[in-house]
Amino acid sequence: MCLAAPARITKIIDKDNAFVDIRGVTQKTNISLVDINVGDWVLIHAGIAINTIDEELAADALKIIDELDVDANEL
Amino acid sequence: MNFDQFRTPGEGIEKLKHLIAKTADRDITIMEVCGTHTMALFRHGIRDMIPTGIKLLSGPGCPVCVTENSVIDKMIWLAGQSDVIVATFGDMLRVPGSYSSLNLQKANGANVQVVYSPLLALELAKKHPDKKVVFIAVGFETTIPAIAVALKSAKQRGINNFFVLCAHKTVPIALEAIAGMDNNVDGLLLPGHVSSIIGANAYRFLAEQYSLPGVIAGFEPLDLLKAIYMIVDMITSSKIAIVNAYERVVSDTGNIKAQQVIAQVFEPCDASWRGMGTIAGSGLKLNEDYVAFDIESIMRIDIAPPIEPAGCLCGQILCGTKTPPDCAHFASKCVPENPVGPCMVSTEGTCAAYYKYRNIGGSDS
Ligand code: SF4
Repeated sequence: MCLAAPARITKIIDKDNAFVDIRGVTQKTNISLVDINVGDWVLIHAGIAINTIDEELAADALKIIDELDVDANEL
Repeated sequence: MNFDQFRTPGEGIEKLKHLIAKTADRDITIMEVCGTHTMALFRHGIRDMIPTGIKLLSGPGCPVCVTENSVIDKMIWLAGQSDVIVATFGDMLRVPGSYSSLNLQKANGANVQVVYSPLLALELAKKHPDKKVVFIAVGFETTIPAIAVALKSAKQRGINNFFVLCAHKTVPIALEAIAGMDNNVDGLLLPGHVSSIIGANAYRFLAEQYSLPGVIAGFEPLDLLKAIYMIVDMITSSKIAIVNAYERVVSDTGNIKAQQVIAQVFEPCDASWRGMGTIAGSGLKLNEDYVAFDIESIMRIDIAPPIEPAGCLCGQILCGTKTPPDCAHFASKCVPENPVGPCMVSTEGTCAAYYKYRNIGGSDS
């Protein structure tokens, strides 16, 4: 039940509502709990944006895994 | 940003598998608290990627599964009232109560509407001013803000035929109960989306007071393997802490706006969890300003004493003391099409996950 989907803000309608793109599908969502701009990523659950997704931190996490020090011969 | 990179097979996954195997120098039991993690671990085949000595146990993190029969019976009773429309998340439809399920009531003509958002239930109330629309408010901190937003909107807009049957539960206090149980749990895989609301700091006491390490994780293969590696590493090096490995969504303090909206509408109360009994302060009820939206404040819900399904081990499974194959009904009398207990109903239920993936590893671990 705690499933949430990443979505991108495409248009802000008013202070409480925006259109988002969820994997190609446009949906109206409540944005009253997040501070966002068009283009930002959010997590949608039960019709509201529950949080923002930080793209930089996502990229950092991938980089850290990339840089893990494992001897290639051992893989 | 392409978040799919967290699930693309490749070197990252191989490196993490290798690091886990190299670091795990003993048998370790990890409890994945969240039902969405249970499903993700099976779906991505993570159980087959880690050494057999690392045992993954499901915890009390499926909101449908921990909802007591008395709540299910109440919602079925409500569906039987001619002036009520029950609005619910789809997950609750097939849960067997003591005597029936919402689905059966619906087939018999009861007015039950499935909605994916409480905000849609509110619109339903606006459309049907002659009916009481009752939203079945189950769920943890991930879901509670959406319900608080809907209730605030109902109050602002003066929609006074919108109600909730309130059975919310909160995660950290339940984990404290788990930490104090005899279930051999060495570490916790902490829920990603609950944590996005409450923040990593909400769990620090588990490491400090109970010496239980935990890692907050996302739901993709790289997220899950990284978190398992971090837990194993903390246990083998005796460095016990709570670590946030889902930084792109979770902060130390969580979503403050969401916490504020919850506090404006709800206040803590004791809550009864299936299999775990009553845990003080682990639930939320409507506060003084919103109590008029509680259906139980205006209707006396008259149900017979609840009956638990005979032989169902859901309670013990939710505490990590049993696994689905321990249950005599598993995959015989109890299957997803005809569930005996709630852990087989919800797509995030442990029994449903074991059933779905029973031929591809993990059924005995
Ligand atoms: S298999 Fe069915 S009866 Fe057994 S514990 Fe799971 S839900 Fe309950």
